[in-house]
Amino acid sequence: MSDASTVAVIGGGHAGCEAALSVARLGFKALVFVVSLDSIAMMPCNPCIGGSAKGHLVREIDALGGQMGKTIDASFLQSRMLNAAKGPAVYSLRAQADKQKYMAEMKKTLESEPNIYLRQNEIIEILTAGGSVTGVKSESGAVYPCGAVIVCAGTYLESRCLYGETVTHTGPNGLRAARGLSACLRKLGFDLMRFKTGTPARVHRRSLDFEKMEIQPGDGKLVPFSFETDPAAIARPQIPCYLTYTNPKTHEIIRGQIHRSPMYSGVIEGTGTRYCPSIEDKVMRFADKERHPVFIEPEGENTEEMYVQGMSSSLPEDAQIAAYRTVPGLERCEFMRNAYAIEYDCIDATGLKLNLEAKNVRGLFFAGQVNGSSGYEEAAAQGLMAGINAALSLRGKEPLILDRAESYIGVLIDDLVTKGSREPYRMMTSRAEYRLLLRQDNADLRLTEKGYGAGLIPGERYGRFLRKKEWIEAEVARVAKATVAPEAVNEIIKSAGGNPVGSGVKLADLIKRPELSYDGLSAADPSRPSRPAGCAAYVWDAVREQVNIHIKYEGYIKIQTAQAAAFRKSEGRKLPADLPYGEIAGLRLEARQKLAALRPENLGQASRITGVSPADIQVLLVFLKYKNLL
Amino acid sequence: MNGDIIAAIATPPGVGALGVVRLSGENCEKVLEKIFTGRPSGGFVSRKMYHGRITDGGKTVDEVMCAVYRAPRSYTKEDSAEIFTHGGFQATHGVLNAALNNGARQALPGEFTQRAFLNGRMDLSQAEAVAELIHAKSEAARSAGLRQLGGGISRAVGAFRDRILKWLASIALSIDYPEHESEALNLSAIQSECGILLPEMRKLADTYKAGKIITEGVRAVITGRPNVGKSSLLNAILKEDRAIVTEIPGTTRDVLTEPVSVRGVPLLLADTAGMRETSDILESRGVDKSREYVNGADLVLWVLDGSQPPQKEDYDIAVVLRGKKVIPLLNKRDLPRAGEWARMGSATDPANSGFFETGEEPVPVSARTGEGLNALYEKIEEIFLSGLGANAAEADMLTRERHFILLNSALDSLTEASAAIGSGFTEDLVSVHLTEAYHSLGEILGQNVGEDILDRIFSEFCVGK
Repeated sequence: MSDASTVAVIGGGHAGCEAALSVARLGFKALVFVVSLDSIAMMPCNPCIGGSAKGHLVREIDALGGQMGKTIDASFLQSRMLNAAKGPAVYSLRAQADKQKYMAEMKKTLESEPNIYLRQNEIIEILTAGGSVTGVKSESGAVYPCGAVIVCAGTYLESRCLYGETVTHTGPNGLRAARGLSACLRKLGFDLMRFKTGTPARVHRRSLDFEKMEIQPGDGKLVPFSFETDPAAIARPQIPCYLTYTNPKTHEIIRGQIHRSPMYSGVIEGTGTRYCPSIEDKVMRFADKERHPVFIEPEGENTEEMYVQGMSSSLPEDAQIAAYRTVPGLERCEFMRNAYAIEYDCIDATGLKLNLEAKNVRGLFFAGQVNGSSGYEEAAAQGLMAGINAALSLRGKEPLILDRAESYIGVLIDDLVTKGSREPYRMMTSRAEYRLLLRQDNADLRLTEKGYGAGLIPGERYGRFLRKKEWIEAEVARVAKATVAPEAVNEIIKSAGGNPVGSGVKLADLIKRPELSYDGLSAADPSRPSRPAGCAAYVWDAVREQVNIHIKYEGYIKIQTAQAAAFRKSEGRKLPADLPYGEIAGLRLEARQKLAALRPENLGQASRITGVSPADIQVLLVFLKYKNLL
Repeated sequence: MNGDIIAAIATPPGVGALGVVRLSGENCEKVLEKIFTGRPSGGFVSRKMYHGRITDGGKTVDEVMCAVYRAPRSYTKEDSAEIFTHGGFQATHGVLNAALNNGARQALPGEFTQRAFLNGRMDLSQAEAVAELIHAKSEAARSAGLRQLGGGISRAVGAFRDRILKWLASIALSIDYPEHESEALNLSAIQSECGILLPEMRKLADTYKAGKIITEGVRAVITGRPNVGKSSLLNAILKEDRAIVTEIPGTTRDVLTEPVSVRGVPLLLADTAGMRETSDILESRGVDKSREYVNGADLVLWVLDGSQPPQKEDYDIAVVLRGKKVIPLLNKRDLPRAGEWARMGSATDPANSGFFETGEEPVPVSARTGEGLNALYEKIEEIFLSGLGANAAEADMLTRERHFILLNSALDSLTEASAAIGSGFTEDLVSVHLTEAYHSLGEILGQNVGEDILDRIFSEFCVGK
């Protein structure tokens, strides 16, 4: 009764949208079930996309043919490149989103996709036969046959929202919670965990005194998220954010009310995240800190709601209002939605393979917050990969697995399925070992080939990408050989504050100097090519940026490339799924148990499992050789 | 994992007549090309012996024989090489270091055997045995490693590492939470803290010289022309210290050496006095013999007859001893001293240049009565344990080459980090060097890097939305 041409996507959040779009664009029918058609691509927490490491994820999603980058480009209120002084490896793009516009754009995109079928209906059961998915069943008893299911349930599984003594059994924003699916997942053999996260209050713009805050404008130069977006096409007046701070008075109120917090009274069972602590957590854990920053961010162009970043809370409503009103500029703030904590079920993602498919149920994929992650971008990245892999699996093709040395997406998924998460997982640049290779500027060079191979990048875009790549390579090769005479360059060097050169010097060596750059040396480089016909100005900007970075950081890039090559060797050693770990005498007991439980897919993944030592890996190698499995 | 070139000393530690340093890995000849002078212009022929010198950074380390075994006809079935060195610590470790400095890395416990196995060198029935071996060896190495690492050292290394972690966390904070940038240390603050940490780390690295001696022993040799009292001196030292046997693991009791401990300094005393000096041995042969022993020694006890004027042979030996660590001993102090020595009594006297050019004051002793031996012992203690303080304990010294190499590599990385900051490089690049330093120190302690940096951020900084 299964239908191998259909994939059911449970949930229409950021994971669900990417999953549905990739499945549909790869030629399968995507049946998307949502609790409310009005909540597709909803941002129940902060009104922003990107930021450190998260911005990298969005660029990677775009490079692979995903949607998030294009949609935020069409709906942003303000855009900034963070970390601009800390080196290109950590430049991070962040945009404030117009929430309603983002949702509308994304819903329209889904509705316009011929292969996507949206249904407002709650799925309470995943049907299986012989260890494979056969369909899903809704609360009304309707059965939808399908060949694969992608669970993108977000924070809805058995969720409840809490503030003070108030507990509502709902999902975020008062939407109905998903009941029933948790029990089904347990029956299918998944370990469920209880996680908790939270969101601050929304206040009315008219009630704020911006004079008392620091204004935070957007960047003058726009950098879009999508490699396909021309910045000129999305130029628009940007809307500012504002910065203010808590003070001892705020902290005093919070300390006085802390016994009324469900976190502290023990009502909340879920594990919270260190990545976005509530204001009461900050005050209690860092008692000696005199102030905490509070950012006021617009929720959209057509709403007066303002998001109060930095003050998420599960205190009772009256305590929240009292605390907020101690903050300069918020003295007369009018609450529109109060802050709350939400707790929900999620799976232990170590039950998944690297393609995000369950180890014990064929055709059952998971993506997003249900895997123990947090964040829109982390969810979207998983949704995209689960969608691609569900399609590849139905086609009987090899999965698309990105590794830690080629993408943040690879780091994200490997961390989730290899180590599991003990708290909602947030992507950060410090999680990536090969940060200099995984820059946000070169996501297309790293991944577009793979997106094309998977079928998500259309031929026309791929052609444009190849031309860009050729231009970069040709120019890097030319610069590597070019030399400059001292008289041609010393003026430029002096005005940049550097030491002049005495004799002819390699252009590449000059570009490597911190005070100089490829663009800055153009006057000394007469044979430099001009923008080719048919190359958009923004693409040529990107080409020059690549040439500059490539040459400037050549030494460091080489070091990390060599490290990545060594890393890939053990990633390349596949481990059979049925290895009898229990029988391998040389393994320590803990390693035997962990390996048997997690069944890593390759030797590299095995080495990252907590409790598996380098000696265990050597023993494993010996065993594999012994069995002629290498 | 099998692509790189590994190197290790294949012979047991201690003093043997020969040592073997072994290399394995694809094209390991390229390491030899850099360090071995005896490579024929047409390249090596597999399984043939070559004679030459091993050099490291332009300095000759040892004179050796060397053979190359091309894959698959070698123990590991990979390209391999064996270098036959002189025995003892200096020669074997010097040659190993030369290889490590020129493209090889230190082999892990059992790694040669593992490679041999993985490349199908052994039959399948040995699989389990090899697995056991790897495990046993790595366990042994780990527990030995912990023992080798004294409490003081591991605390010091842990503290160094913690300081680097603080900087890494600070950089991570500023990158991953740009809105909290003002709470992070800036790069110039990190650079100046680096300037404080570097000399502290160097000071620890410097303890390796003494630490190595304490654990490996000082190769000492008694030399001098015939009939000056070498044998009596040896016996006098041995008699006094017979009860104190050094606890150097794996010390082979070479027929020619006697292990003794002098004021906590373990000496492997080469018994040249035990060589029969028959009357028909030409004087020049005596000098040759001395030269042979002196070459491999860390310390020379040069015995002179104080009751007789210096002889021509004494002057010949003085030439041989040039450049060595020498303590001159004016023996037979129980007899009247020859007048000539009164003039030559001081090493620092310019008149003695060319004779006592080692700079060490001659110590008047009597091997027969034991007089003056204490002064000799004090001198030995001063030479090898000076600068360590009165309570210097083994626990406060680096004693293992592996630890020393890792500490030095951490020093190099930190120096590079500091230089990178100085040249105006950005956080993303500086953190590459700091991470390397952090990893190297972690390897000394046997600690892996998990979420240390993140944990540190969240414990020290209040971040998040």
